Amino acid sequence: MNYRFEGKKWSRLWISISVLIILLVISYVVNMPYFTFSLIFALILVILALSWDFSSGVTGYVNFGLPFFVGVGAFSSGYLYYTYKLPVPFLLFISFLLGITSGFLFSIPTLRVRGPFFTLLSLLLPLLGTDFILAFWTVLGLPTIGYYNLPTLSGSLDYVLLIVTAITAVISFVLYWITQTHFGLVLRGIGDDEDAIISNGLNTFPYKLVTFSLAMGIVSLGGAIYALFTSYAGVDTFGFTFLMYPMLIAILGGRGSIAGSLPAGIIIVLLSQYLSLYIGSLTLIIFSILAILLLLFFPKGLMRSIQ
Amino acid sequence: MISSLIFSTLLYILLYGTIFGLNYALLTLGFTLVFGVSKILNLSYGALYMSTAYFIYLFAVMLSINLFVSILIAVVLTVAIGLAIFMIMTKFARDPMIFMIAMLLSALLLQYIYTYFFQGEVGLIIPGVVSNVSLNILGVSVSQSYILSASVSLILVLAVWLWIDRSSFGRKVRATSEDYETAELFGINSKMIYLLIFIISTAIVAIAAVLIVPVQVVTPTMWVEPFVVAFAISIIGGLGKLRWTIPAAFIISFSQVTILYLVPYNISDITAFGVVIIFLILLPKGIGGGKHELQV
Repeated sequence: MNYRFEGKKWSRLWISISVLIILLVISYVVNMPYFTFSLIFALILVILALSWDFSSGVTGYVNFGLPFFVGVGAFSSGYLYYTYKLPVPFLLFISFLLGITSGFLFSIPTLRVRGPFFTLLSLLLPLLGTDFILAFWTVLGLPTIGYYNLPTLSGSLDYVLLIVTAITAVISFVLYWITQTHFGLVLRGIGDDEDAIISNGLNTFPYKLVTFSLAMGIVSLGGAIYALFTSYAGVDTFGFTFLMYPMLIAILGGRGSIAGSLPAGIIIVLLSQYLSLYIGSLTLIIFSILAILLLLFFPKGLMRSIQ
Repeated sequence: MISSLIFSTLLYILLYGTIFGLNYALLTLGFTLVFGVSKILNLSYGALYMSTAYFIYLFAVMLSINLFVSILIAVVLTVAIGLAIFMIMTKFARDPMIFMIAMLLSALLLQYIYTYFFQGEVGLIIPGVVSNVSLNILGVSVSQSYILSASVSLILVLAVWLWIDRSSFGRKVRATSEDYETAELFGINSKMIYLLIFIISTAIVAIAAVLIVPVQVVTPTMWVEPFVVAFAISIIGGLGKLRWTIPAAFIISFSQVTILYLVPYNISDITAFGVVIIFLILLPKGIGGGKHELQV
């Protein structure tokens, strides 16, 4: 177990944590609301990217289901606030638990199949997420247009940034730590050659189940943070923005590196936010072309290129 | 009185189940064929379906070109787009993960492009090959478009199946899908086979769009439904297994029509998803069993 705490490996995480601190300082010095706003949005997408990287990037099971779990987090926090008037920390925590539960329920049947079949099944979730919500919310007599006027994380944008930064830092620290343990070693083995692991007498299913449940819990937490940040939870959380950006961030950061998501996410989201100021709704078109080109010609990402 | 009600209900379920099943089989055919031969998941499949619809709208409604000419142009353009995506991805994508993500992104790119260029226009409807007047079959009204699309899809599915099963080209296709290196050793141009099968699959989805879209509304998110249907059926039947396409399509269509009759909400997509999950737990390899590969 001597691979656990090698200083060299941890240095990569410290690089991204210091990037985060520098950005915080810049945001306070510059004091532009749009910059702070974009930074918070970037960090929320980084949280999603971290969990995508931790589950799919490491194990190679490509998961297209993120927007569904973002929606689970957003809708559950909206529902809990309007029904029980819970305070914000409880909303976040229960969304996290519900995300773990729904991720667990989703993973049990789908992780039985491998490769492209898992991907196909995961893609069905966000495609049908809107239908799910509309059908069940109509049956239950709940508002299908979404929940407005949710409480915000904090009154001041600067404090929101601080809270989201702290959550991002904790999540990246925990996920990075897991990938350095024996558990993480098994996950990497699944990504490299799952049959080799199985033939060594290890049942990979529980490992995958725990990984994907935890990852989807974190995605739901991200969705709840997003809903409480914009103080609105609606069907737009099922949109493919919450799939395209996290995947792009995770891959450009370096697949399976965890540490690369933070710098990559901040570059990508700030770029697209400032691009949208000038070209408006064309951004999505330009950005998806850019994303395809980056994926095809820069697939190694930041962290793997540095090595 | 009650017996006639039961009779008309059963007839309704039987008729619409059959029609939807045949349409779904046509939608699935191209998707499952490409996977069977080249092990490629064409995630832009639904977006190509949508492309045909938008092209027909552009040429036939906005530019008022003759319907049959516009259909021809639309099919050719759809094949061209599909081929461009396929060529770029197979040439430049380094590994399967990048390939799948880039494929999905190109589908989203098409969605964003149509959203941008047709924004503000809601409720787009394209003209059909036959009139939209309904026929009355024993008290159940069925649109003529549905009858045409069901019969064409039955013919096409059987034709493709026989063609892969009997013709010498079909033998080459099966050889390539089994082991492309050995096939090349025997003088078969595998790359050409992949390309041709992809062109055929894109043409099939374009024809499906020409037949089915006139009874729907054209929107930038309409690619979801054919996508879900093609996935669900190919997973139930087994990806690449042409023989099981029609039975699997009937499983989905009959459960959807029955649920639609019993439940007052439109949950047909969720029904498809539920059926897939049930089959995945009971029969993870599809109703055909064996490996997911091209089988006739």
